[in-house]
Amino acid sequence: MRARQTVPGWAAVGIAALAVLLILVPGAAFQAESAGLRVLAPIEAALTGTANGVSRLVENVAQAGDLAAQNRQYREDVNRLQATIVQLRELELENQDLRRLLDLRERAPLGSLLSVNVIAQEPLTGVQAVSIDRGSDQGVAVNQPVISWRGVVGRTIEVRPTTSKVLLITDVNSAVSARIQDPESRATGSIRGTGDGRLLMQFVPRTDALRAGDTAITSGIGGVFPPGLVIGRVLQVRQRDVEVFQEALVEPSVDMRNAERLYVVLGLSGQGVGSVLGPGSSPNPSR
Amino acid sequence: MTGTVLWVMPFLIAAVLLESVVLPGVSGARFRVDAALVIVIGWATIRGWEEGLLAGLIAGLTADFLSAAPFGLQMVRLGTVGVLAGVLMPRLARSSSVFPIAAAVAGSLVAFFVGVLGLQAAGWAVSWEQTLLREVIPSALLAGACMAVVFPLIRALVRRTLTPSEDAVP
Repeated sequence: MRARQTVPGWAAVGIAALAVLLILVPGAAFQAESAGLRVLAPIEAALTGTANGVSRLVENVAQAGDLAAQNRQYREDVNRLQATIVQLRELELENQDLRRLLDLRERAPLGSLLSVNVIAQEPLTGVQAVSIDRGSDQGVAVNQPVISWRGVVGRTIEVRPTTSKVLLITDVNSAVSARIQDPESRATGSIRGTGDGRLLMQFVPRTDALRAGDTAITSGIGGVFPPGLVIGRVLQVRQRDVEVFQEALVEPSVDMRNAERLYVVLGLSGQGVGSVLGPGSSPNPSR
Repeated sequence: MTGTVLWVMPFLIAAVLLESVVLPGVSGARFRVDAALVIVIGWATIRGWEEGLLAGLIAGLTADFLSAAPFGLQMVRLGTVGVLAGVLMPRLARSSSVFPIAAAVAGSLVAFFVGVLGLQAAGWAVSWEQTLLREVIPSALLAGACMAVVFPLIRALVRRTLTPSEDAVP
């Protein structure tokens, strides 16, 4: 076994003497201190920075649980606020819709209106119809007009207790008695669907003025649709020399593909007084 | 044999609901894929006319609940296509994988014309020329493309549902 190596005696004595010298001679002590600090200061600064970083890290780790909980809370708040914003936007749209409908009510003799939603589109190609979420339990009957604030959508053709089917005015089997909303013209005719999403106004006497851009409205003849509801805008007028009648291509005022907030006109009061029934309300209290 | 058609029933009902309730809101296009028809043709191609007829009737009944057209027309339409595909397709499908795609395109056209005849028989007016060009032909091509994806899935479903004693799947 080797003996343990120790500092030589002469070195220990030398270092001690140097220390005494540094203590006793003020100038030498100052010089030595300055030189030592010059070397140590950067190391000291680096160590302090590291120590502070570690300290902050430890502090953060200790608070991590609280921060996570706080973060969850903020996220929940954000989600809740976003949902509220969406709800408010929907309410705003519904409000606008009802305001326009009230405006429409002043112009057309609408009875009680039942708010309905479209739940399905017609699966059979060639037939233009939709299913709505209200039926005979809510007072819907066959041949009642279905409208939106923009104008005529169609009429009910099949009614079940909780759902109904609406044939759109764009279907070729639909026909609406119409006139042009122009004090000078008042041309009347019959509007039917063409099957491609547009309408054709037919049987308009050639003597009646009919121009592109005119607005076609319901005339009230026929009994299904009340007078004064907007049907669409005339796109093009076709006249043939040999024919007694002229016809016009009409763009429907309602976008049938995106129609969502619709109303069934339950009873035509003819007095312009009625009520707007929300989803879930029933026109017949005895039910 | 016809018991296996029960496996495809949920898919048929889901397809009808999808094309009638969900897709119209998602896609603004005038034409849309008749997903139930694609499944009926695919199933009939593999399982024959009996199960094709049953699949067509199940899908048709579901569609009839949602349709404003006379009740039963969808059952007739999809049932007819199921029988035709079940009679004509099993042998052809074994020879080439293109046939099921062609069958989906042809089946869409047949289904449309059966629908038009049914509507006219019930006294409905149909502007079939415009509908054919603008809606049916694009929808039929889309159905063909859809069949290329759906047919292997139907075949896998049939394989999974077959008992060892039943016929080999093409």
